[in-house]
Amino acid sequence: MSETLLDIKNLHVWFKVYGGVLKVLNGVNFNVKFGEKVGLVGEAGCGKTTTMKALLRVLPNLALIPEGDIFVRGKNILKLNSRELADLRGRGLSMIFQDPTSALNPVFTIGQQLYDIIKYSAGSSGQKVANKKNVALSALHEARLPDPERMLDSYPIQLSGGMRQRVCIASAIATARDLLIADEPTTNLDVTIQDQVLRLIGDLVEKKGASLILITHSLGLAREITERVYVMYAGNMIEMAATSLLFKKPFHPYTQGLLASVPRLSGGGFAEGIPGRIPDYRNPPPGCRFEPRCQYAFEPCSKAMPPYIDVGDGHQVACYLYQNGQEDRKNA
Amino acid sequence: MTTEGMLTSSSLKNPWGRTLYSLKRTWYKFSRNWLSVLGLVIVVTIVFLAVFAPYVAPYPQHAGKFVDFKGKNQPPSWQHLMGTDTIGRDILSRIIFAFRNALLMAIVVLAVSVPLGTLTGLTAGYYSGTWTDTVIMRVTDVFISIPPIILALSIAAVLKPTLMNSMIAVTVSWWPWYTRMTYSLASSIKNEYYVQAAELTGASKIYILFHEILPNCSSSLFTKMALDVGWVTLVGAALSFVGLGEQPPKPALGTMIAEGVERMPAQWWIALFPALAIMFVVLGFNLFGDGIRDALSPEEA
Amino acid sequence: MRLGPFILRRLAISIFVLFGLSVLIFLIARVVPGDPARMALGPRAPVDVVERLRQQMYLDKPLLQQYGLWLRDVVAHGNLGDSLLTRRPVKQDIREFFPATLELVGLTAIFIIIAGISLGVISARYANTWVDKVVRLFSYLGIVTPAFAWAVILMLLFCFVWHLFPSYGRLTEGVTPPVTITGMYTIDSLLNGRLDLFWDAVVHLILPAIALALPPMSQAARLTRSSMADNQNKDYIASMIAYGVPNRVVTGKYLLKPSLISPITVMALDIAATFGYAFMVEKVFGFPGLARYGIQVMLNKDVNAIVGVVMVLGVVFITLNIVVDIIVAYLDPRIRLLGRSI
Repeated sequence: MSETLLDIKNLHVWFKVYGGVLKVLNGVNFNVKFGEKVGLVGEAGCGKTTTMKALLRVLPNLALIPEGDIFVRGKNILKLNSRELADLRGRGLSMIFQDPTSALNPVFTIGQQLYDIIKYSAGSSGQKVANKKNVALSALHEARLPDPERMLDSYPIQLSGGMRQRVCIASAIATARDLLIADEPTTNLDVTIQDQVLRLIGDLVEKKGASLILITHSLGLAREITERVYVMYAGNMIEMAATSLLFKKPFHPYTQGLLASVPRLSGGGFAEGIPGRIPDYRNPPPGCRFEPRCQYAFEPCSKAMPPYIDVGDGHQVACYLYQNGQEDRKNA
Repeated sequence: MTTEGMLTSSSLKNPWGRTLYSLKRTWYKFSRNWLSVLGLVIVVTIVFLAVFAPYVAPYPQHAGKFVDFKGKNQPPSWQHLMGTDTIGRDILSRIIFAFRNALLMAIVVLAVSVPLGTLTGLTAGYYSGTWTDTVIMRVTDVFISIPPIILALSIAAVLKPTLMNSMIAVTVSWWPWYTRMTYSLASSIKNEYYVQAAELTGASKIYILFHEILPNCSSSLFTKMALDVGWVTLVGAALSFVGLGEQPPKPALGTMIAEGVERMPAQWWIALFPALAIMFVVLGFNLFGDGIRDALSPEEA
Repeated sequence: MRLGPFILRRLAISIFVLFGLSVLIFLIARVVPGDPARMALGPRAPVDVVERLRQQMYLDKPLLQQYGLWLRDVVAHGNLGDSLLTRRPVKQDIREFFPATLELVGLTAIFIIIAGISLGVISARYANTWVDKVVRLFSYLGIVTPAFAWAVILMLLFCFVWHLFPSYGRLTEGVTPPVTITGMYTIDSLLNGRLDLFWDAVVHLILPAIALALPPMSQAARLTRSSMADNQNKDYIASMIAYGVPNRVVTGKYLLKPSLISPITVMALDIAATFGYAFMVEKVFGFPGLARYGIQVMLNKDVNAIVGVVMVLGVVFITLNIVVDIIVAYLDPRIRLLGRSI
């Protein structure tokens, strides 16, 4: 237990909307050890960001958590009050968002935001001003930003997208100790910058010995950096394995479909997509949520959500095809 | 009935079907909020009262030249639900007739200022950054730098006090707001891809303005128009309050309040009921306008 | 561009607008049907007296020259002419009545800003709870009820049902006003050290100010609330919270500042508009202010006074606009750096 930083068990998250309830997360299981680099892969709308928001307790007001637990360093954070939470959050958790433009407050300077982040992320004890400035400057420098002094007095509007993202990384550098969550960090950036930013994140995590949760819809990205990968679909983790294992031999039909839809530079032929769409969260399928689109669906699939089945080497799949411990797919 | 179900129904195959479908959907979105429906009810009531005033008012003749000193200053009773004023006229009836003038003013003012303002705004917005834009917007600025009510007052004051002149006054001070709104909408819409596509395919400027840009302003326009009926009524009442507008003995909401204020607090009903009537109008059109805004806004994910 | 050049640009534009306004109102006043001189002197005045007055007022000269002469009078001598109604220099009339309205609008503005923003913040903080619902209902009623309707209601309730406030004038009858320094009784009485007078003046101001403040204050509260609610879900807020910045700092600083931009702009417009609605409330409460004077001169076609009043108000509005632009530019660096938002 002590080597597990984060453990999400059976998390359900619902959103109350006009005319019903969106059952977005349907029993999510997710854990990260200290110093581990984990990937979270899934298409848009499958609940990746919601899971992270639940973890950070920044879900919007209309969300509720009817079931499930989230343990951080052994403490169940769903049961903490706001002061204890603030304490816990500050110490060593940082997040990089998808859209650097909306991740920085447009009406405050970089310096002002950095100072407050530095001040409060140390827990309830603030740091002296001179100290803060140095920490900020060195973080900006490490993030390969030019002219850190001027940067502190600049506003986000004056920076380019790549620079803004690097400022976000700088905040992470300045404060990260235990965990860095990177939510699609390169999606909104030019390809030429993507590589740099990614490398920056990788270095940061290595140097601090922190854990990394990399959220992405790009399989290639996940493959490059992570040690272990979760595949998510429509509010459920449907497969989890060590990265190399997953890409070598994906078990879940969805994962297989995902890998097959990546166009190949060699080998010819068009990539295949996966027919169908993600389910309506207001009326999700009662059983496996992938069942309507699955070409191997058979009788138990529509009855209830399949449990995690271990298929060896720590590789887990939530699919009835493997309920006897090996492939039954030819039976479909 | 799911969205999918509606989309695949055959009703969409012809233009009437599509219009009906979008009307139905707009109504669905509108009616989900009971406040909007309440607004609609109030608006319909007011329109009904205004149109059928002579048949609906209990004492229609009181709206004209009428005196009855015996019955003056009566507090509210079953015969006169809102009491009588200083020369014996039934207040309720006068309010109903006053609605007529109020609505008439709103219609006239909007009928002129909306097209005028929208056209200027569209032109300035589409040609933004050019000389046309600067000229139009600076002129508009001169008008906007004065709140509508002051401008309307000044103009109405130098003209003879009639209903027509106060309508002119309000119109002059109203259209710049439509210009400004359309201007900001148009100047951002013109950068959208579909506008650029239309330009590339050689569409004429008129076509672009009216078929590409204008429809995308329509929801803001309709919302503002609905809300404005209430506000124009308010400004009109402010004008008649000081005697600029419909002249006595014709009934106007503002005039009635002015008369009533003199008689406070003893004959409190003379001032209070017209004031409440104005509230009623503004409330109704506000709720209605809010409902329209909700109904016409695009669905959120 | 930095703040300095930004202000200068705004000033330049404003002078242009002021100029345009003067032309507009001058034209309107001179296009008056009927002869101002005749109207001032009455139908029985002899023709030569009327003619002399007409010459005095430059009414016999061409329009353009009239405007030029008027402009010279105003800018060089500060002379706005004499009021045809009160027979005094318009400047004197304005100096007497303007501070009263200024006082009233000033107190109204204070109410609007403090109550509007506070209610909005409270409403956002307790969003979707009963607190929020009550505030929203109350703001809605506030918006749809015009100021003069509130004036009538408030007067009925607080002056006649419960005898809490006076219903007439600036001071209790018979009380001498403080020595005039600014013309505003509240400030003058403080400067004179007369707290009793101060209290008397304030008490006469409260009800009219509340009546005037209620609609704009409700509007401001609504806007603040929706602004905060919109910004609440933005990534930069989640980011701050994730880093452990305490809620009160996030709400009070990082959420509030970007959310104030929109309400402040609207509040400024509303405060300017209040000068217009002030006349109705002034009439209801018998408050001798500029607005009431303005109406009288307008009804009486007192051209000099009309022009004077409108110009004074014009200067006030334009100043207000500039102040707001400066505040907004301070709040939102995007505006002062790019000249636009987003």
